[in-house]
Formats: sequence, structure tokens, C-alpha cells
Amino acid sequence: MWIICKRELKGYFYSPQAYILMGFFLVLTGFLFSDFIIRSNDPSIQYAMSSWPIILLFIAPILTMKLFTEERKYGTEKLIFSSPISVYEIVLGKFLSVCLVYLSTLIFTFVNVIIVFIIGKPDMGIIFSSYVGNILLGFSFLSVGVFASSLTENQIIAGVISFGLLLFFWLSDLLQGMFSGISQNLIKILSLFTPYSAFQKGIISLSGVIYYLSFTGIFLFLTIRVIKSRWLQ
Amino acid sequence: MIEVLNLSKSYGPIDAVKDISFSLKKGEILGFLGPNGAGKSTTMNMLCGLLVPDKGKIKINDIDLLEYPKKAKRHIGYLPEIPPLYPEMTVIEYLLFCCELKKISKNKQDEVIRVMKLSGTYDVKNRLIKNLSKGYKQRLGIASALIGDPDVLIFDEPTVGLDPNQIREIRNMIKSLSKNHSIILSSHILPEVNALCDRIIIMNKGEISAIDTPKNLSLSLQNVSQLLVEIEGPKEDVLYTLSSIKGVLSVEIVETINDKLYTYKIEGKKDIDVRRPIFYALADAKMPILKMEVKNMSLEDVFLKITLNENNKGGHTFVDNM
Repeated sequence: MWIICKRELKGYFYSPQAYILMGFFLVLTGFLFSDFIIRSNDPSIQYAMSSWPIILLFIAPILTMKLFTEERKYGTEKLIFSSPISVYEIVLGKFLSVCLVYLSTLIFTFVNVIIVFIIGKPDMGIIFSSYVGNILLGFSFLSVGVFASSLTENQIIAGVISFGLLLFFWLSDLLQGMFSGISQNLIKILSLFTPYSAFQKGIISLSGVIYYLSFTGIFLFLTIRVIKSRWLQ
Repeated sequence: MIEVLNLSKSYGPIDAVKDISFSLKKGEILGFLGPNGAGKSTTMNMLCGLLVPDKGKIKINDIDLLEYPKKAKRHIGYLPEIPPLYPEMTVIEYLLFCCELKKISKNKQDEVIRVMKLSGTYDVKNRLIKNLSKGYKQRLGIASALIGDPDVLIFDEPTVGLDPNQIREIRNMIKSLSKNHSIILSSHILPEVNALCDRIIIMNKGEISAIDTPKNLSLSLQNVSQLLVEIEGPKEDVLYTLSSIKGVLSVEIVETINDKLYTYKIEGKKDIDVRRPIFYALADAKMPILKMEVKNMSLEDVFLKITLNENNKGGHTFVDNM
């Protein structure tokens, strides 16, 4: 697992890809943060953080789209799958690598937190739970991206599929009002953002944590299934 | 080394590989020969654990590949048709990564240097793979298959797309590797298999059409013997004399040397040696033989014969470009 993860991380950081995406994320979040503080005169970060998932909605597909498609493009999947290493190790290794890229990006956002601490007295608890929420939601996003990249040989198509899926999970939150009864509940379950609001209020709910972790788990499991049934059959 | 029993694989309604069995002995080079789409690559992919067969058993060093894939895969080095290289890595980085993938426990640096020297990629060790020539990429692919010193090497069309010099080098390399490894290679280049392999499996439409040594293959499939004979004398008389000999099936003139001297192609029944009767008959008729040559069927003829025959049997006349 670490072997695969290490190689992917090298791939991200030896090329401009990771830096461009990280820079994009940090510039946008930084801009939203300063914009909010200047306009509202309220030295808190959690409101700015609530927009992070939307930025990640665009970044996660780009970050993940090459994971499996590139192996197929270069034919290197034959090297990996003929090696004494199992499919789940490969999938987990790749997922781990994008998670680490995401987490290392989040480390840089601590600058914002430090600024908040300098100019005011923020609520530590809310900042902490917002971070936990963003991390868990981010993992879910990335798992969808990993899944999409296993579906096709084309990077662009993989990116579009994962963007479409994420958009669906995001929009289903907004679509709730159009339905009623069971269908509304169903859509509520599908929405990735329903549990997110609790984290924003400073609550680390167990159900939310379990929701995101099982969502991630399901998509990673689906990726393994896809590889076993479509690549190795 | 490798035991394959009743292996089958189908893609939907198409049977890619139908119930094939064979074995690979230690130190042997086994060649897979067949037109494109005959099932060579599918078979090789199954041997490497890249494809799960529908039916059948694969044993590598007595380890069941399907039951213990991790253990069995350690004994295999695989070079796919297109060498599996990461263009953004350098040669050393790539080989170190292969060492980690194959879980090499001994000193990785030493192992990388060993395979680089064996495959002749030491000179380019710090170059980026994307800047390497096709020949070096192929060598690097072989180097990655050699990592961990596996017992069995599987090469899928190892010389495709190389220039004649590189082809010769790669062939020599394969030949020298066979001292310490058992090798399976596939090819649609006949002289290559002929020159390299101890045994040949001819595949056609997912089935094994023939399996034997190159020499036996060309012998066993000849049901006529052919002679090329240069005879001096009026051609009508020669033709008459020859065709009246028992066992001669047909005679034709293939070359005119001058108005008295012709080269004849004589086909005789396989089990009758017609050379002696021809000699005596022509000697009696005072028409001297100046040259006589037994024409062996080349492997190419055998290959064409087998694959064409079977294609015709199935009602198709599909022959791929070779």
C-alpha cells in the first residue's frame, strides 16, 4: 500500500500538478476568508470554511482523475497487477496519496487560523469541528474521484464523471424541497451536505463521522469491485 | 515450472482461449505462435494473474496461481507487449519502484544494478524514461521483468517495433537468459521462434493447433516429400521418365537453365523415398542428374498450413497479416 502511495505522491509533487491545485485552493480560500473578515468585521473563520467544499468540488475530480486512467494509458497496470500486491492495497494506496495531498493543503490554511487568533478570540471548538467536517467530506469527495477514474481509460471522462457525481450529491441537498415523503428522505440520505452543517455548528456528531466514513468506504469498495470485474476479467 | 490444465477464457460470446493445456520445463524456451487474435496474449495475461480464467488450473512452481496469487506471482517476470513504464521517472527510480512492488528483501540498489547490467540499461540509468529510444524502453521492460530473479519469464512479443540490430540484440539477450530462467515468449515472427525456442505452441482461434519442437513440426506436417533436381536431357523425355516412376505424384519444371538443362520439382509420397528409383531410371535413360536437393517445409509453410486449414474448416478464410 505504501509503495503505491509513495509513487503517487512523487508523481504529484515532482510535477506542477499538486502545486497548481494547492495554490488554487489556497488563493481562493484565502480570498474568501479576507473578504468575509473585511466585510463583516467578525474575526471568525468557520463561515469562510463553509465554502471550502464547493472549491473542493472542482479540485477533487482534477486531483483524482489520473489515478487509474494514467496506469491504463501507459499500460503500467500490467506491471502492478502482475506484481505480488493485492487490488485493495493498490486502491487504498492511491486513495491515501490524494488524501495526503489534500491534508497537506489544509495545513497551509492554518495561516488563516493564526490570523483569526491574532485579531480576535475565536471559538476553538468550532474551528476544530469545522476542520474535522472538511477533512471527512474531503475524503468522501476524493473516494468518488478514485471510483470515477477506475471506470474509464480517459482522464477527461473520469474527471467529468466524478464532477457530475459530486454535483449530484451536492445538488441533492438543494433538490430536497422538490420532493416529499420517502423520496425526500432518500435524497436527504444521499446528500453529502446534510451532516456537514452539524460540524459547522461545532458538533462532531458520531452519525456524521460514520456517514462520511461509510460513504468513503462504499466508494473504495466499488472501485475494487470495478477493477476486479472489469480490468481483471 | 508451469503447469496449465484445461484453461478457458471467453469474452461474452467469443471464446478467446478454449481448453488449452501445456507445461513449461526448467530452462526451456517455449514459443507461442499464431495470428493476431489467436489467444496468445490472453493466455499470457492469465499466466501472470492479470486475467482470471473462466475454467482451468495454472500452477507455477507447484503453487496454484488462482489460490495463492501473491505467492505464485513472485516467481514470474512479465514483459507485456508495450513495456509498462512511467515516462516521468528515471531508469533507476523506475527499477527501484519495481523492486518495492515485487517486495525484494535483499539490497535493492544491488538488485537494480544487477538487472541494469544484464539488460544493458546501465548507460542510461539517470535518464528520464520518456526520453529513451524504443530499444532502450524494451530493454528496460526486460530489466523490470528480471527484478527479483524470477524462475519464469514471460515475454509478449519482445521484438515488435525494433530495428533489425535491436532485434538481434534482444534475441541474444533472451537466449542468454534461458540459461538461468524458463522463458515463454510469443511472436508472430516465424524465424524468431524458430531460432529461439526449444518448443513451439501454435495457437489458432483460442486452441492449440500443434505443440512440438520446431524441427518436428516441419517434419510431421509434411505429407509429401519434395525434391529439386537438375537433369540434363530433352524435357519431354525427362518428364515422361520421371512421371512413370512409382511413388512420384507430380513433376514440374521450375527453372530453365539452358535448352538441355532444367530444374524439376518432384513431389513424392511421404513414406516412399523416390530418390533411388529416380537415379536408376534416369541413369538407364542416359539423362544425368547434376544436382538433387530435398526441400524441407519451412516453419512458415507449416504455420500457414495449420492456420489456413483450420480457418477453412470453420468456414472462414480469415488470415491476419503476419
